[in-house]
Amino acid sequence: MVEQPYRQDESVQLAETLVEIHPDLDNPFPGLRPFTVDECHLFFGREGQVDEMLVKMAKHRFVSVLGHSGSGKSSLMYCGMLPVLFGGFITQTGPHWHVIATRPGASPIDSLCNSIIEYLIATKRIDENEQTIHKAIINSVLRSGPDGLIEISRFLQENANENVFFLIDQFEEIFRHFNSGIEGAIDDAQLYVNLILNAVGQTKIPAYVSITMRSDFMGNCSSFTGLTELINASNYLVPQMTREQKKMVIEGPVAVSGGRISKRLVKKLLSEIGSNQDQLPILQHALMRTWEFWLSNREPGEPMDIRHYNAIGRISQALSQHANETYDELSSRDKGIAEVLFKSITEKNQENKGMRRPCRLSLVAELAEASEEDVINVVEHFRMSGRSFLMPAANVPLESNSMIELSHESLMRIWNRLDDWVEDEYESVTMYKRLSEAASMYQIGKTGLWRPPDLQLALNWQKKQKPTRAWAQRYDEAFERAIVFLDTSRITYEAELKNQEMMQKRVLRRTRITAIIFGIAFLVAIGLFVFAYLQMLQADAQKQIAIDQKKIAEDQTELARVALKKAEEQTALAESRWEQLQVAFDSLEKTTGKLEVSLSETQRQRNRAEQLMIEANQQRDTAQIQTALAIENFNKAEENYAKFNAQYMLTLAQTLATKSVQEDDEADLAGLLAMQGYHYHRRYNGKKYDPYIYRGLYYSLTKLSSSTYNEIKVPGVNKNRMNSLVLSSKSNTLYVSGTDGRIFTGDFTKLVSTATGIQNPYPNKVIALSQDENYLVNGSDSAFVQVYNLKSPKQKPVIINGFKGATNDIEFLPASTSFIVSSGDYVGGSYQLTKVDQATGTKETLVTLPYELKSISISPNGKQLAGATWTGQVVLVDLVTKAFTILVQEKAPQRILSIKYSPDSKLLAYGTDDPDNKRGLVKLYNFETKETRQFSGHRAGVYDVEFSADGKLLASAGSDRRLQMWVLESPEDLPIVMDNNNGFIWDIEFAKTSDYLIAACDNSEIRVWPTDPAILANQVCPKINRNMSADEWEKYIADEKVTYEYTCVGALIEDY
Amino acid sequence: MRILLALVCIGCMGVSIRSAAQATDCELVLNQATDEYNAGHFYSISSILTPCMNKFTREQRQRANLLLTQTYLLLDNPEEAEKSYLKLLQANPEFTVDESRDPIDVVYLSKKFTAAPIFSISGKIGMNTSPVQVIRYEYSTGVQSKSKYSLEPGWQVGLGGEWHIRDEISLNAEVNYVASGFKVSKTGFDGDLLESTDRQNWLRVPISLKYSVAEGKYRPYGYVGLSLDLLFKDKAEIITINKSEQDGTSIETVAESPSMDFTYRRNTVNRSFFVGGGIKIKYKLDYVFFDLRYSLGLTNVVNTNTQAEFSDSQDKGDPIYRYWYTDDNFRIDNLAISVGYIRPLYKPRKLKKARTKSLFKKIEKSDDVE
Repeated sequence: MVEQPYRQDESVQLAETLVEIHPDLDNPFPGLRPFTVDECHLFFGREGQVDEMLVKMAKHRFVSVLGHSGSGKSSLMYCGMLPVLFGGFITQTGPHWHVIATRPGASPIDSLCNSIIEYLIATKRIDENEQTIHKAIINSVLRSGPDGLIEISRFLQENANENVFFLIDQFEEIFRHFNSGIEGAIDDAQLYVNLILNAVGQTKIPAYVSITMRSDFMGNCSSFTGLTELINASNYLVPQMTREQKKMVIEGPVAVSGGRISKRLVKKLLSEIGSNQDQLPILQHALMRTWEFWLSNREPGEPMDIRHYNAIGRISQALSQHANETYDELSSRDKGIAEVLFKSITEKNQENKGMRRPCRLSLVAELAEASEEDVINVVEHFRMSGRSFLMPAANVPLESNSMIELSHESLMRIWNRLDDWVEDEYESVTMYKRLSEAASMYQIGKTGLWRPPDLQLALNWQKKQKPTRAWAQRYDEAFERAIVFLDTSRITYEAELKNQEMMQKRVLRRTRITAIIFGIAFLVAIGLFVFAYLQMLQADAQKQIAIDQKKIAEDQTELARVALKKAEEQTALAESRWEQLQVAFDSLEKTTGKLEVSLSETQRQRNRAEQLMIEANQQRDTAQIQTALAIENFNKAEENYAKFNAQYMLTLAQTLATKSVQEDDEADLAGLLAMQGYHYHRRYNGKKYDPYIYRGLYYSLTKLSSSTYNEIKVPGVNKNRMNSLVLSSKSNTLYVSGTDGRIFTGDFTKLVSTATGIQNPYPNKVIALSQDENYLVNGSDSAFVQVYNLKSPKQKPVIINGFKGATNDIEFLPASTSFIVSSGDYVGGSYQLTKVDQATGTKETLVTLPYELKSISISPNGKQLAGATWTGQVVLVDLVTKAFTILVQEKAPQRILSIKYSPDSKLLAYGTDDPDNKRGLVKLYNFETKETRQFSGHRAGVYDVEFSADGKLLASAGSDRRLQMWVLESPEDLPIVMDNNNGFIWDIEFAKTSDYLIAACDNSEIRVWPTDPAILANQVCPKINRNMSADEWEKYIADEKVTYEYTCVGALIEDY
Repeated sequence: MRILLALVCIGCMGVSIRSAAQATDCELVLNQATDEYNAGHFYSISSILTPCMNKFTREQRQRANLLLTQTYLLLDNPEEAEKSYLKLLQANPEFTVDESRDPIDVVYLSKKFTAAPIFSISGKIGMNTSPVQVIRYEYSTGVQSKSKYSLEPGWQVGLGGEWHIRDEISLNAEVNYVASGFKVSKTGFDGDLLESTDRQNWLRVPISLKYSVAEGKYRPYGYVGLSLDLLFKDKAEIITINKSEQDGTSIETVAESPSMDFTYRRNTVNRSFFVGGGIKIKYKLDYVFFDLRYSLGLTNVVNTNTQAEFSDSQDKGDPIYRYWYTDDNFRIDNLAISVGYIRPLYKPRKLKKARTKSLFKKIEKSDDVE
């Protein structure tokens, strides 16, 4: 509020000051065009420069005003020199001046002529209607010779004191004309120059010439003889304006026109214009525009200020803005024409510098494809008063030959749009020139057709610029050739592209097909892989089956092989037996032969005796003694015969038995042969236990029944090892223990067995039966023995603990309830024999031994115990003294596997294993004779030896799977062999009646063999359905003297 | 090169011929020993077999040791019998006695031993796909339209260890590298589309309880378990399809993002429950197996702290600002099919308590059958 009154005062004061402003409506600034003569009062800043020019002109009648574009040459001439001349500049002749202002333009002579005519009309020396004829006259005068201008000058003079002044503005146009190539142009130009030279070279007529020329065309002057000298003699280079002069340029016209300009705007203008002389027209233009804007927008009393200046775009943009405004006022059609127009009148030279290039209006129309009127309209629009972007000036009427040009080159720099157009045009021209050149090179075969990117650029150019022939001809004549070249390039390239595309398509198609094929192949491969994998799995399964099959086959082969081997062994055995038999047979035959001889001898003797008896009868008296002797001889012979006959028949019996064994084809025949042999054997008092007869009967039975007819198969698993066997002495009951942990019982006559309730979850090894047969003791691989009460099977066994190892053997003491256990009871380097009372379960160590007794036997008299070791010893323990002695020490690695006392305690039998010789021996020690008899025949370890209850028979068996039985009365005889069981034999027992031998074997098998052939024989005939035929009899008996008889009566009855 | 190859071939042939010859020789030895056994010459068997003990093929060694076991049992030498049986199991851990074929004492002995593996190791490889279970939808495109998730294939590879608690039951632990992925598409204004392809790299540590059939060539199995899943890398690429109309024709502008690191937008530690099953196929002593597994993600995989975070890091991209993409909250399931190989680590050993009782019952039963 404090400041308010002051501000009011100030505004009042300002208004008072400014209210005096009454500017002219006319714009004091010409803009781009030069000042005209009429505007001299507005021309400031060149004061004093005119004098120097005038001095030069007075001296040489010629002055050339030089300066670069926009430096103000023309303005200096029109507003500097001409006013002085009109003002009465006095020369030698006088102060009166005829001033002809002209420009060379497109046709210098014609222009000069026109200017002269115009002057004449203006000065009313000729009538306007007569100008045509005058023009023709003046033209012919000018062209008549170098003195033409002098003649004209003289014509212009109204009296001799008058001076004639030719102002030739923009003289540089003569060079363009000179170089235009238009027919006669050179002569025209030369004539023009000569006219000037001659005019200024004489003194008779006061003709003066002044030219203005851009200083950059100085060099071109040498094209004309004498011109250079002339210019050298008298030239004036327009000087740079000082800051003060420039200030005058700004302030002067404003002041003259009654306007005001603020100091700060002047300062700003001066600082922005800088020292560039070139900027003078631009400054003029900016001032013109500022003036206009100020005039219409000023506030009362406001001077031209920065506000107005800024509004018109300042020096930098004013021109561009103005030109744009002008351009934007046009219709779109006219805009197109304007573009062509401006492009036509500008060019860019090699130094990348924009240049003006006047162009004939008609050509512009042609290029723009518009009528001349349209073009004139556009040109008028750009050159109207206050704009003057184009020349000629607004007052000059336009026609088709009018040369249109930019009023000032600075427009090219400042007007952005034009700059772009110029650039466009330049590029377009460059492209066209390149294209044209390429076309010409192509024509002579020095280059090929264009390809991208050149081709693409050229096509873009063609599409955008739409070059016409008229346009193109200004740069290169061969427009058609260029276009054809471009089209050819395009078509070729397109064809190539199409080709390529087709190729690519083909490749793509091929790739796609390949991919599909590969894909399918891949899928097929996966399928095949899966299939193969399945096949592999199947094959694996098949392979497994095959392996199983193979294994089965191998097992069977193995079995077959074993069987074969066995068969071979048996065959070999049979053969050896056969050979033995043959030998026996031979000896029998020999014996028989001898017997036969003896018999016949006997018969002969009997005959002789009879003869003698007859003789004796005849000579009774004389030979009674001899008769008695003869009878005695006869009886002896009879006895011998019977004896030998019996032997023969026994041999025959053995032969028949052997033949029975060999008879494999027919079981009945085998049975018959064995039986017949048995019959003869019995009839002729053969030995009870004859191995031939036994074998014959036994094998005939296996053929008639089966090889397992004497087998008891224990229930349960197949591969149960039957370790230990005991028999009841009161019945046919047997007990057998198996490695499956169970104990079985059975009847050996009925060939049946069942499991008892006794069972352990570990292998049993040995059992023993108490004498009262109420208790069964079981030893296993565990460190205890169990005592089972057979009378109450449900009762739990008594467990005798305290042993340190597996049980090897158990024996009951005779007439006692105690039993002795031999176990792997290894304590402190010795083994224990333990005596256990079955009734009380008490246990006492009987004796400690340095040997582990694998088998023990207690002598039936209860005095002694014999033990067998696997290290080859037979140990005798005196049960009374409990002392032990070593009876036998076999050589290592022989083992003693089994041991047994004979019922009379006189003999001790033991079975050995002789691994070195792969055999087992049965040895019989006689306590009385201290002799040991050895029985061979086993081919592996003898795991058990047994005496029959009557002490007559000794049996042994072992891991060679065979059982042998000797008759102790005739120990030299061959043993009876029982060998058709399936596995190893671990334990054997005689039935108490001695007529059966029972064996505990591998593979869950118990075998029962009768020892007496009679028992076997009783079983044979019932299984036979027939008797021998006569042929068979003859074949097998083969002795006529042995009469046919029926072997089996039962079969005879059946036959009957 | 060819000569070298030929030499190598000849060498190989030589070696194989020699080993075949050895096998043949030792087959004869084995046959001889068997013959001796059948002939009852038990003492010589060990010395017959000794020269070949180190030359036998695996199958021959099995037979030889079975023969020795039987022999030693007959020779009352249980220690050696047990040693031989252990060697037999070393030769063929899968050997089982047959009551109808083998002597019953061998069967008893066998019950004191086992060769069942305690541990097995396995490796597998396969393919997977990850169904996404959305917990809550986020509408980042400004349109209330639910994201659509679709499946992308992935692959996995893993190693595992198995502890056999019993023949049928085992505890399994694995380490799996899983590369999985999914695709999500969201709809924006005017039918604009946003499609993100998300790829995860996981380290999964599953622990499971497994039941498998213990006999036969083909052995089915099944399991359930829990898994610790570490999502250590997540990358996403987003494609936006901007639909606009100009002069009556619709224009689609497709913009494709670079691969952006989404790991920081995910929770690293996740858990899952899984069930699975398959079939093991016996191959020699090992197995080939085919496995199918479905894992149920239990945790939100999306880190809610960084879910709406802007990022100007170059490789993390700027999904929210640039593509208007925000993750929904979701769990990731996984369906995997694998093929693999199991190698059981057999350990023949003597049992502390023999398994004879069952055998005994079996023997009793066989009476009834007869």
